[in-house]
Amino acid sequence: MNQSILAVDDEPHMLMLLERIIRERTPFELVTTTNSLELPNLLESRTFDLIICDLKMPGMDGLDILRWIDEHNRHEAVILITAFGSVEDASEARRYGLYEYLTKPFKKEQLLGAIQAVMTWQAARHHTEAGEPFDRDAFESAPLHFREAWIRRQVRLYDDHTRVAETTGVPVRTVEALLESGSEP
Amino acid sequence: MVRFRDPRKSSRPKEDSALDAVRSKFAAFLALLERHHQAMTIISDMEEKSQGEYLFDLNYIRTSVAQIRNCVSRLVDIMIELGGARYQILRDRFAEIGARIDDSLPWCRSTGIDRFTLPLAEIGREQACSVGSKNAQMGEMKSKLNLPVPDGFAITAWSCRHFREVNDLNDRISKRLAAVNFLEYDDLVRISGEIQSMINRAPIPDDLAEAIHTAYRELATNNPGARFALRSSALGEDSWFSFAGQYATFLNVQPEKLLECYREILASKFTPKAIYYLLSHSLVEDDLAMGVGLVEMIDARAAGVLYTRNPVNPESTQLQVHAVLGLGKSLVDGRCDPDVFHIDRANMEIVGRTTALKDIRLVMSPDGGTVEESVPDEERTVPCLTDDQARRLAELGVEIETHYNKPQDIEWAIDHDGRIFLLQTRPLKIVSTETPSEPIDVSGFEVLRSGGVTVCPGAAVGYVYPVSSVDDLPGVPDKAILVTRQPFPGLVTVMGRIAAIVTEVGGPATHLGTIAREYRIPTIAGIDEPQTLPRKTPVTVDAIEGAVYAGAHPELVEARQPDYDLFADMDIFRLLEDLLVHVAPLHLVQPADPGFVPENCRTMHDITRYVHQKAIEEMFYGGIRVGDSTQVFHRLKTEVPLTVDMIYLDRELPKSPSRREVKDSEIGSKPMEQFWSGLMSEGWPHKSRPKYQASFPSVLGHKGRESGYSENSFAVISREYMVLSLRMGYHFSTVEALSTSDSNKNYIRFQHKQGGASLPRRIRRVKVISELLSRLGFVHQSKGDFLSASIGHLDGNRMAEILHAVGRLTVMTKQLDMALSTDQIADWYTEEFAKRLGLAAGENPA
Repeated sequence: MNQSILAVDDEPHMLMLLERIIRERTPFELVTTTNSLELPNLLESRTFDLIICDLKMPGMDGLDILRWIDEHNRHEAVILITAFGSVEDASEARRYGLYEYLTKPFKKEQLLGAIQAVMTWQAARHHTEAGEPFDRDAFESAPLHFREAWIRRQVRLYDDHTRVAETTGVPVRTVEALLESGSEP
Repeated sequence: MVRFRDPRKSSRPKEDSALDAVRSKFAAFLALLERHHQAMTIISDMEEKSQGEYLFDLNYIRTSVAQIRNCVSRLVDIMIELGGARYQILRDRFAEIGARIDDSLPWCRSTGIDRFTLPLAEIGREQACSVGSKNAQMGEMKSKLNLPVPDGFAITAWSCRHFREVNDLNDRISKRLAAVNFLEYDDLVRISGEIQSMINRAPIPDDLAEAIHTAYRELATNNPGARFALRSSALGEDSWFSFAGQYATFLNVQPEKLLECYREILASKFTPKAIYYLLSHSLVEDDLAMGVGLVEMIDARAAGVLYTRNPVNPESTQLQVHAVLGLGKSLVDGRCDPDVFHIDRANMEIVGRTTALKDIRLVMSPDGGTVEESVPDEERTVPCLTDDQARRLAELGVEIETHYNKPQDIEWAIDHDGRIFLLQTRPLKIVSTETPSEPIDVSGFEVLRSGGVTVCPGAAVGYVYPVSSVDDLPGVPDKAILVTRQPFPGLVTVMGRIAAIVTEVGGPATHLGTIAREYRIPTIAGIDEPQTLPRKTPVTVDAIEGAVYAGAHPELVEARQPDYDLFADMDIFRLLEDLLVHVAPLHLVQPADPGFVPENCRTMHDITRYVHQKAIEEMFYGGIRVGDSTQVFHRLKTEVPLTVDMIYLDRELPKSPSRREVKDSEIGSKPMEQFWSGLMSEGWPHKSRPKYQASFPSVLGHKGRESGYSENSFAVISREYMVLSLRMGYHFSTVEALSTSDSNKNYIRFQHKQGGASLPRRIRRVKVISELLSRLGFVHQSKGDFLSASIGHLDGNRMAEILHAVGRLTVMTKQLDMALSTDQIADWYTEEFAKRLGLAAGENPA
């Protein structure tokens, strides 16, 4: 399945830059809007893997979007773009499952790195049982990756799904799904 | 941030009035150095952001511009404090550069009381904040260049404000907006409707109505029989946003409907989108003021677009005239194939032409609207311009480009009497790409179609998907090769997901062309019956050669891939570049040049550089001119070919000039001695002065160190303190250090800025130095090619070691100038120097 991104920014210039870099430097499908009020309708009609949005917007701001996703038990990961100095708001956003925030101006590699991390994580999530153990743990994505790598290592070492499941506490089906999800990270 | 500190507290010499004067001057000097540091940081940061590695928004530009203005303004103030009234002229220079920055900024300051209407012939582009950019550009061509532009007048933004003020509309709109909790898009639509009807019900004040009618009568009298169109002319930022919506335009406006139409245009501004934008940018309703223009309609026999460069090949020396019969709208919509004239810019010779077959044309109907009609047989195959007309247009185009100093995209029309009119001009968007040069053998490919025109370069493989109207668009699969007989509105909605576009009608000068280039989608026009291309097997579109081949040829796509710069064509990057022209370039390089005067300051950097130099001269020479032998400083006696003048904060100047020379072993300033010993120990390279391009006229006039104080380095020192401004060629380094017995007070601060080489090389050099400083333990906050690093809380021994190492490093990196052509070379030098300083990986710092 093609992975997809929704980008929302009330500043058309920033949105145009996001659009250019995502279209040219990533393989992901992209939908954009400058109007955050369109979000609920958009999100009711389809899902995305990632939402990139500005923290401060009229209508629905970044926090509103995070809350909406939380309340609706959705799996969209969120990357917030913040102005310099709104780090406190960003840390509040972490309570709602923020994946990453970028402070303007930011380097294009920072954005591409964050997008790639989200997409890798979403791909792994798609391949496992509903949310376990790779459920949203947005703040601590690093331990998550370590854990994933550790499980993969166990699988490689023992080549025995049941045993790995016992050692790691992960259901057998998840281990199998992980193996099917293919190549080494 | 470590700030320059006042060292007087650490050295306590006996009170002395001469020394007091020196010290008080020094306090201003330090304040100036601090501002200088800030200015360099801001300028370098803006330059860095312009390089395409960062994403930033308008707010960044807004803030940076405000910061550099504040900072340089303060620099000028301190300079006047330090050197007196003769530096007042810097205020004028500052104001003028500021005005040019204002001209480049897309946002407008409210212009205040103004005339209600202004004839186009009295308007220049600097009035864009008053009349809107469309009116301002027409006025500029008419008033400044005396070019043929339709007659008309502008209704100013002030009129709009006056209308709203008299009717108390701003308050009423604000209250309306404040009372609504925007949670749904529908709320925006509803409130937009309410505000628009509120505006349409408000009466136009008598004085404004009278002014508009008077202007109309005058215009109608001067142009008997003419018809007029009333249209919006958005202000500043608004016009700059390509997303800005279309506001109402009224064709063939009758005098009795004039006020009503005017009001409707003002109301049309309050679209849901505009209201959303207003709310999101904490703008006030007043910012939504707009200019309106009443302009003569040209009943065009032929019309079109003139590109003063080839938008897909800017290196070409040809300009392009695209022309259709009738009104120009049928060209930009892509409904009609244009005749195209390629004209050599140098000699105005027509070097190529294509003549289209003309079926239909768009003409003015008797009621002033437009209507499509078929072209009489005798006109179908004839070019719609004579060669002379095409050449005349080309000449006008070059004149406009020269005036604006940028490639232009110009709309023009020719009436039935053969008179040329220029309708609009704006900067031409150019696809900045290296033309792919790899030759590829296509002789084995099966050619399905050929002879197409490049609209946007590149190539793509995919399956053909024909469309003919908006209804077909939802079915367009991703990565399709979209084919259509002619472009139609709505195609933009699928631009993000298709691989290429092939059309029969149209060309580069269409809206579709502009958008395709914005999205960088390989596009060709002029392909016969593209709808009949095979759909079951993939095809390869070559948008450079204008051909479609059967089958998939990924190697061709690879070879034709344009080498695009990711962001160079984006509006916000173009804006930053436009602004940087008035901020970053340095025109004042050599203080010994006769041209090193305030009058030649053209950028913020120039003023900063000038002030820095003059502050040093004021500090050291009290403003004494070159050649004056009165010395108020000590001079360092050293074998290194550097002239260093020094002022002691704790030592009086000896009466006898012969005693004013100080041996470098007896400086009497701990930090300065430690730094200097490092510099000496490294050994000065034989070539005492790096070679620079002879294009700097000043180089010829130099006689080495005898050439005067402009080449000198300067130090202000005391027993425990130094600030050394070191000048080597075009590089400037500042080393500041305080070395006391209390390690908590101690610090070293190092700054470096250079000229000469290209920005990437300068940045590499800064990387080499900052890496070495990091390994010494410095914390650096480098921006672009401006290096700033500091370290603190060191005990006496460590201070000595590090200052010694910084001295050595200064000499080592001195001649890197032109060597750093790649990052690899820079890395090699970093490791090489690190080894010599004992800082290579795994080693303990010196």
